Amino acid sequence: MTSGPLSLETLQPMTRHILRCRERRVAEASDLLGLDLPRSAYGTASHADRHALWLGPDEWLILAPEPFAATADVWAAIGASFVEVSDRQVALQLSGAGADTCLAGGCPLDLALPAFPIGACARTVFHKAEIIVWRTGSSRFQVEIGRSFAPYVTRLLSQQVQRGRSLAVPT
Amino acid sequence: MFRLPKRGLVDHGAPLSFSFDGRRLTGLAGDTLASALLANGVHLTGRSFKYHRPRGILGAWADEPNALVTVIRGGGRSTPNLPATQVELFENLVAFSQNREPSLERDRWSINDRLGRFLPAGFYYKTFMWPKSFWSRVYEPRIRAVAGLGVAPEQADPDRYEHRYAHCEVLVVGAGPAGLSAALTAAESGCRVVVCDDRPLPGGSLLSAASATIDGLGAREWADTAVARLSSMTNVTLLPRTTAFGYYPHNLLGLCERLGDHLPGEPAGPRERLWSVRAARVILATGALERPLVFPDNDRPGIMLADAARQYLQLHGVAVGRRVVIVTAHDAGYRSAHELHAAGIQVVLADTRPAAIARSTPFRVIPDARIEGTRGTLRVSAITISHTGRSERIDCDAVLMCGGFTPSIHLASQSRGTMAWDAEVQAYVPAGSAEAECSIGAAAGRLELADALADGCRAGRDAAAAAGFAARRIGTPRASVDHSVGQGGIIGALPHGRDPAKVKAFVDWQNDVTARDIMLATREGFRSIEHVKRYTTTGMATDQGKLSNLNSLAITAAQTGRPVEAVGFTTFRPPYTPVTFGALAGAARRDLFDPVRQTPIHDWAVAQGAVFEDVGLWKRARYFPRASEDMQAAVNRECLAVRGSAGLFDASTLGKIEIVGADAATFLNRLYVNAWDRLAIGRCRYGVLLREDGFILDDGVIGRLAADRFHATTTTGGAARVLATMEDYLQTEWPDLDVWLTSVTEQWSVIAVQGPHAREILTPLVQGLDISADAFPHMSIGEGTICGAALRLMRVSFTGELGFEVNVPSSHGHAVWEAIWRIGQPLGMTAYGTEAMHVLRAEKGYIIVGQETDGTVTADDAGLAWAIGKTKRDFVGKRSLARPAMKAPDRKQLVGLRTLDPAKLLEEGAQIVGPDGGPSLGHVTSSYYSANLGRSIALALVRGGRALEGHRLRVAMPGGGIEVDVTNPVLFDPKGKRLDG
Repeated sequence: MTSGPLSLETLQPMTRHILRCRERRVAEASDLLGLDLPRSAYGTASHADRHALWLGPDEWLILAPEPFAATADVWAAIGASFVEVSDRQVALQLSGAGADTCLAGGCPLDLALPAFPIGACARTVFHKAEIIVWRTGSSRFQVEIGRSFAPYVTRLLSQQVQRGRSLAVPT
Repeated sequence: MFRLPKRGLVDHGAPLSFSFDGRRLTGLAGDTLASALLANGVHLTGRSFKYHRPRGILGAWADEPNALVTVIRGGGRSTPNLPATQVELFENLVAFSQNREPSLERDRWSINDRLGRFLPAGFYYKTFMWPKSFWSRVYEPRIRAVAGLGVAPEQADPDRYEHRYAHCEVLVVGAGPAGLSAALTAAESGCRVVVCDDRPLPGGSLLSAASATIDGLGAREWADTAVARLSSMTNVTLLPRTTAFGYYPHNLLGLCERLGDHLPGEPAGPRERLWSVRAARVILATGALERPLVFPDNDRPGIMLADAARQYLQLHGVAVGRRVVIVTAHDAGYRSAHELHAAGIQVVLADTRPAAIARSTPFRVIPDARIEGTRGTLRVSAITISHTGRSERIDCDAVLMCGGFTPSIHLASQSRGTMAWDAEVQAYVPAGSAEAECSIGAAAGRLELADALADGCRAGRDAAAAAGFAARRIGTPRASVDHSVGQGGIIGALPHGRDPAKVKAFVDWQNDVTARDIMLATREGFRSIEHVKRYTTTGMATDQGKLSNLNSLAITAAQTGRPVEAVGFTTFRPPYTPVTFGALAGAARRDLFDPVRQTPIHDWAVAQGAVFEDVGLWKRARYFPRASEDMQAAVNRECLAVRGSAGLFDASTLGKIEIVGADAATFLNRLYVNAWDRLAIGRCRYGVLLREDGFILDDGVIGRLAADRFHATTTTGGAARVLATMEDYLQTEWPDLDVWLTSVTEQWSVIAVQGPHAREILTPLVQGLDISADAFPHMSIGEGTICGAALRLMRVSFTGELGFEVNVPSSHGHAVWEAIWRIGQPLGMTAYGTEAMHVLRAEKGYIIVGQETDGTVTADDAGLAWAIGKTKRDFVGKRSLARPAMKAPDRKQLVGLRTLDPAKLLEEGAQIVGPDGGPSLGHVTSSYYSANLGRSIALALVRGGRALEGHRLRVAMPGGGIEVDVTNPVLFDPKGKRLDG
């Protein structure tokens, strides 16, 4: 499979929520979201433009292009917490040959495809910042960053991308 | 002149010019600085650490203790203390020797050598004791200047460094015969293999194995084939010039890859790359180091390790001398002798063993040889050997030592593997693993080529299998050698017939430790090798005793009448060889040292000329100077404006946590000192959070948005800590509670609008929420919209004025701020920074966690006992508050201080004493000039302070005490009427 040249771009704003609920409520929460919430580490689930990223046994990041209709009451009824964090973080997309190597400059996870396949996500670190890394293609990653950490992460990733473009990056 | 044509891996057609101590010399591509110097007949490369004795090149790689040089590359690039043996030559390399003045040949401190008997081991401890004031001002700087290494560079390092994380199934350290065969075998299984080797070319001992063949190929050729095969495999990462310097828990190894130092000019990319490699299995094929021999005067230039001389011959085509004497206690000395002889070098071999191996040699062999000493000042010129009852002086220009081989167990030891004494190898070898690792080949004491290759195949296969990969069985390569390594070896000091008190037989070249020093240490009662090491400093130089440790161990054992294995051995610690600070720092330098966090309003503040301060990782506007205002003038103006009209303050950095769930109020009840059950929806409360020991951890206002939803704020610096504390309690103590936490610190920008005009300013902007005084009293929270953005409005005040905190989604923060600014300006509103905020809250006696508290302050100490829910059964810290000491009347309590002279400003941290002096009663926690009060103000923690209200105390200062009266901490608007303005 071919992958294009390395690139780093800021993604458009999107609606983000943190869903938290108990294991026994996952089915109801899945119904409300219209997708099957992933239940294990690295897990993600998508339906149309709506994505659920597993962050912990009781925590998911829900991404969608538009705001949700379900109100706080609906979530309260199933004992779940659904808190909007759209502006809490920003997203970068890192793609192209050697994207995983760029991330490996500051992220200690094993990002090889067998270990971190397409669709995998994890809350981890990049240098000294917390990030959520989500593999959306064999050499494409979405990186969610706390808003005020974005300049730091962007600069470090840009450096890696520039170097990756100028040098042959081993994959 | 000592270069042999057509020999070695150097390019004889590619001369390189370089300079050493200002002398222009020529080497060849493929040389190290050491081999190039030797090719020019230069052995003298350093002066020893303590005695300033002339020293030459001893080894051929990382074991080198003598030839430390400074390499200068221009542009601020100056690297001291590099072993010349590891510096790869490039065109116009500039290197200088160290620890000599004015030159290597005439070093004025060489007088130390003649004073040697007055400078025994431990003489620093014995001599430089008094007076104490001389320790740092006289002794240390003087001794450092004389007993020195290179000079640290003064300019900032212009080079770039980077880090890389990597994961593999098998990491092979060392690409010699064992490592290469292990890597090949493991890689054929398809698993990910990383192979690192610290030399410029992979191959290890194969590169200098002139008389060995493997599978019918010359050893070098076999190595080249193996390297080519590995390089072609996509599952293999082959890293030459890469030192595995540290073995950390769970098979994490630190590797330093040198990318730029071997090339002339500025590096195009990073100078070095620090790898953190996590491996399922680690194979240590780190080889062995040849041991020197401890005999009198064994340190003259021209005296070196036999295997080093062999490597210079086979790798670089350099003869280390024309007439050499090889002193050996091991069969390997014969191999070196044969190869040197074959290259046309005149060789005499002195075997210290009683019955030298009887075999026909084309060179003279002296069996049962005893070394009595050597001659020569700047270069060895002769060696005196006694044998068969007579003493013989042999003229020579090099003396080579072979005491056997010491397996490089550094990484195995770092991994906490156990070691066992191997009497045959006369060294410690790895015996048990604590991590998923193994040592093979020479590193395990198996010195023969065939053993190394067999070890490699087996270990490679086992490691791949253990990582879940089936290795194809590939045959063990078959090796044949002309001269096997053989056996033998000796450790400790060699016997000689001279006065032991008068000879210097060096054990540790780099730290100038002699056999006599170690004997002195044992005579003075040191028995533990750890103590002998520290007393004599043997093995404590930058080479970490790679050559000296076993010999000093054996001398200690002999002196204390114990077997070597009973003495134990010293701990190996990372790094194996020095690592640059640059590599460790990586990208974390200058403005990327830490993340710099900025709020959405930051750019506005920059445009307004704000001066910023660091609060944790945040940049916060400290004050907004106008025209020529200094900080005090700006803060005065800002403080007056807030109380006179209105102020605008960026509080976005406040920690915010949304607490949701049916049990949210119960959770807050258990955590905070306050009572939350009866907090009505739409109301806020100031919460105090204690640690379990009863001391204040954090504070903040918490608002109830719904029966099951709270918006909690924390201090800026405490945000992460409070969230972690809450999550910890929920997960470990109260998993039964239905409560969920979400950090919303960065979701909401917080704009504080404070002052008498605050409501007037906000009213036209806020929609969907009645903020009139009756509908939205002090400590209210409500939701609406502002400028089209979602709004969470809190009516709270950290200034004592009518105040609101406007929470809007961060992407709207800047626009909403501007909108408020536009409306507020005609009314005299000003933007104020953290400094004015501090002054305003201090006027009101409001504490700042971390300023009025220091981890030893209870809620009552801080005057916050009112916040504690008296009828609550429990909360975190409650039990601790019941301890007698926590209720003692003489605890330090928060008070205000009034200086008698209203212009006098106290110093924060200053100690407070009684009116007539005496012991400290406490300290000043906050001190400012208050423009609103027209005088200085201060808060303090004073022992039994509340009972001292109205009393006079003194604040002790270097220039004399300052008299103060103790007051209530609330200095402005004590009745709090302005909050309802």
